[in-house]
Amino acid sequence: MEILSNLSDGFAIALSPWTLALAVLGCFVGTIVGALPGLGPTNGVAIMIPVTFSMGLDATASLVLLTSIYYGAMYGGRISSILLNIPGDEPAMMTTLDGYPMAKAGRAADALVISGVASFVGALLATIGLAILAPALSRIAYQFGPAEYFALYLLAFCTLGGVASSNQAKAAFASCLGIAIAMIGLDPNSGTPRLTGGNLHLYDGIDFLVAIVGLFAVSEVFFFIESHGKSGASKVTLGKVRIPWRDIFETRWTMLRSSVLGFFAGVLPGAGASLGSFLTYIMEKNIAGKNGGFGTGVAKGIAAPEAGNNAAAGGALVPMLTLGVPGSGTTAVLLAVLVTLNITPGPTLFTERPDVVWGLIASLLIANFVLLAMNVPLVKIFVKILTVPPALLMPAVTMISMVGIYSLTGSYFDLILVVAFGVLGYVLRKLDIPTVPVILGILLGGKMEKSLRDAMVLSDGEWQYLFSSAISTGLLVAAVLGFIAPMFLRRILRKPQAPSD
Amino acid sequence: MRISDRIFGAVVILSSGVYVMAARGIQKPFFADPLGPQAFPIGVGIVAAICGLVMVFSPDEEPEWPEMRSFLALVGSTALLVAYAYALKPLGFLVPTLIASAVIAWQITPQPLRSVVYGIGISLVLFILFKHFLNLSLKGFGPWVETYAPPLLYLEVAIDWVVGHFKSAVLSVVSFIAGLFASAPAS
Repeated sequence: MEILSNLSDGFAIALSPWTLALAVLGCFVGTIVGALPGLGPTNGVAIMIPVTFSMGLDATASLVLLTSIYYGAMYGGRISSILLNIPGDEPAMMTTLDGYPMAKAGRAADALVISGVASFVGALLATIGLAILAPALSRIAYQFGPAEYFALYLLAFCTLGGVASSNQAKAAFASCLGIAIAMIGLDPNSGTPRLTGGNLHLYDGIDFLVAIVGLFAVSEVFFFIESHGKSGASKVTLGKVRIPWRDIFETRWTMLRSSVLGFFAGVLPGAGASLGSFLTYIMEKNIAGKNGGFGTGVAKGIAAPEAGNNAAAGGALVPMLTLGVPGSGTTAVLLAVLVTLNITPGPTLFTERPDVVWGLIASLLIANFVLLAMNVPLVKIFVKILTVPPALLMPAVTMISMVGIYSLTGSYFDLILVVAFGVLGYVLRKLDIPTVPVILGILLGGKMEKSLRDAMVLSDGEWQYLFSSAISTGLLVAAVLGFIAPMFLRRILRKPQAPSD
Repeated sequence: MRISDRIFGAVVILSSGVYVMAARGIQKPFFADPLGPQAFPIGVGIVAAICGLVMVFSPDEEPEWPEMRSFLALVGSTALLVAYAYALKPLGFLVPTLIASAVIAWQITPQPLRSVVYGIGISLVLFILFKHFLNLSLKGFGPWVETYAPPLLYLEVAIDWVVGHFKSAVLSVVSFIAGLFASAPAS
């Protein structure tokens, strides 16, 4: 029962008043971030990073704060999906399919409660899964050499591109763009400047925080400016919040199945929460059959994606902590935080910094209960927040991001880069090119190159070395399959149409 | 007319070409590893160029580009943010932030008075938040204020005074509560 003793150590850290306060604060901020349309978890965590650093938090504390925000945002995303038919974030998209029709039928409060409970079940089971699977996986990860890591990074880029996007070439291009940006700066092996164009500002490379804030926060502002803050949907009013016990009881198996499937979708490096909610919704729709009424506002159609995306959010932490390969966009951002805090994720993390890992897991378990309380009895507070006008919200978000970056680096050049990435993000999103692979590329590109070069040093330039172990061969095959398979599956797994007013 | 993807694909191919050329020009170090600093960037550039080719030959549906007015608003906002980046240091925090957030607010909903109110609110609240609660070294105003508008200096002093006292009051309450917890018997 090693896990239990580790967990009790973790709870000793998590239950200290300071850590607890941070977890509650993170849950609160996260739910707001998730609920506001246009501010997703990736976005929200990215904006909070400079704030966390300037609070001077240590590694455990900042990780607890940021992951609570992450979990909170996954809970909060459903609120605007259900009430406004606008997903607060990408993973919450599937929740609109049944959530909004149910809300229009006058059962908005029921939909919020069912989805809140489903989120809780998904997130709780995933956190338990994280506590069990992560240490086991970290033991396997000890066998990983440079060849295996290279294959793993390739797998992350392939599955991310393969599943998350509707066009393979565009997703692959996004990854390449990120990796290409990561190459800028001094070559870590030899110290020669690469692709800097002689600009001294670029010798340190481009900070991923700059890219994240630009690609997500600033480009979002551009979208709001383009639409002049018009959000087409009419708001549904919320009645008295009662707990629909019958619906919750009827969806118990849906929640459990979706949690398990969502968790494993999240564990796949690169795939993430959007895949989790998508797969679970499709699965439940097929199980329920034609008479299930999916898409007309049934409880199962809300429970499945919400349990799925919250479970995936927890699952995505597994590869991030054990292998240093994030399972989603937001965990990529969390990985960036870890690296900045001088913590190397990977198998050694579990032996060298058990306080960080188990403190985090224990805090997440507590955070789940806090989030259940915030999202079921207190959900009305967050519904109020949806009435904040975009004309107040968006400038504030922009300024917080800009000043946050400025406070980290103190350089106007980085601010200009933020704006440049904002424009780039706007163009990419207009052309339906996913932006998450760009972030992942900037973050992992350097490591991917280093593992390839280290492998080549070990083998003295023999490329067959990449296939020398069963693990690396398996990962490479999985990478190729993960990239090719969605091209064929896409015809079968059509995305259901969003409900219209 | 699926022109956007084709144009973008062509841009991708061209820039990948430039990128590969630049990568070929990277100086080889004296003691190089088998792969060297050039190979990986070149490979990435080639893959990107292939993606560009696919975009040129099998483009997706045309996205909805903004109409002229929105487009100008976007260009204007970009210029504004760049100007903000240059202005932040010499002009101090408050004035550039006020102008930038008011303009963005006005772009989102065209109500001038309300936008100015939002701008004032955002710049003041963020200034207090960043300077006093997150302890960033922010200057409220740049050196220009002493020459051109000395009364504004009192404003910054006033903000510092009020917030400073408020903060110490809050802190003493917090430390009092924390003291209650600390003095409770440890289990």
